[in-house]
Amino acid sequence: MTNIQQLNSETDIELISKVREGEQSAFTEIVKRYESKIAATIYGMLGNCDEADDVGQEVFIRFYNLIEQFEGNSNLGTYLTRIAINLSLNEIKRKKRREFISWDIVKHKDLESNQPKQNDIKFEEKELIQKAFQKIKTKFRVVLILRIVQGYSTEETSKILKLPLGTVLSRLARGQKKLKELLTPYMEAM
Amino acid sequence: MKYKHLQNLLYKQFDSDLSKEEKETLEKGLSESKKLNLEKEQIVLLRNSVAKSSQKSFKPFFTERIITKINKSNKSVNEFDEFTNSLLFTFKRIAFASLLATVLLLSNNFVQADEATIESVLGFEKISIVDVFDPTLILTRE
Repeated sequence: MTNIQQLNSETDIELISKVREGEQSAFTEIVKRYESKIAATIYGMLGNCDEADDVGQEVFIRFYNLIEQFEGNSNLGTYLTRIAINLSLNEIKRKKRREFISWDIVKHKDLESNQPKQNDIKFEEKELIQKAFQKIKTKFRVVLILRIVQGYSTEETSKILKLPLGTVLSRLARGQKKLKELLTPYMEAM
Repeated sequence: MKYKHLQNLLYKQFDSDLSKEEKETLEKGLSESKKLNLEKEQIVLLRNSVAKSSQKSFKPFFTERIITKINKSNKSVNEFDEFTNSLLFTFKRIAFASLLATVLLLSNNFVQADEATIESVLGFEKISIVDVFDPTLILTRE
């Protein structure tokens, strides 16, 4: 069995202890294992922007620097998702601080219209949903990402966000209603 | 009002368990309302589309970029450590040499002095407070 094959079959805890011993290939395996999960979270939170990739890198670098402190009480995916959510929220705050009329806002204005334009129908469904996501409030977006995109249960979502279960449920419902409202004009094309 | 209640139950059923009564109310509502059925279909479609729409990867060579950054930061930390270590090493030598020179100087003062006072060891001349304020002292010294 080659080293890479061996790493593939190892558990997260085994990989973490190897990283602690200085084996960098074990860390590479962790990144590969969780890249898609973290990408889904960050792109969901920030949209398809240049900063998303930087935030993604920062998530894993933070984890690498804090690896000695990881006690393994929570699942590694959940732990990384929590870092990703926090860093994405920071990035959103930073963006808001330097708020000015950007090209993104101009692009998103198309979604505010109730009637789809002919050109909009040609938009890819994925792109359309991502843009609609950016139109809803962060507090609703984050629960939708964890619950619908990542597939966490409502209990897990409430633990990750440290919110009461009732709040998570009401935000999920409100987020979906808002998303449906934004996407209804395009739904037949989906 | 009743529709709103049914709508709330509809959303709730996707993310949480409904009580027996709630289930019955929702089922009854779904069997009676086409609008509610349509809304249910839309929610299912929406949730499936959202789940499928997520971007599953970063830009190419994501892992390699992370490893490069980590190695770079490790290298700069090592360089900083090396710098502080060499600074400490050099400083220790200087400090030791200075201490030795001071001890030798004080010993010399002590040996040459007639009396064993702090002033004589430190090489101070006996000056009274009046001498300090006496402007002619500078002239006599010169």
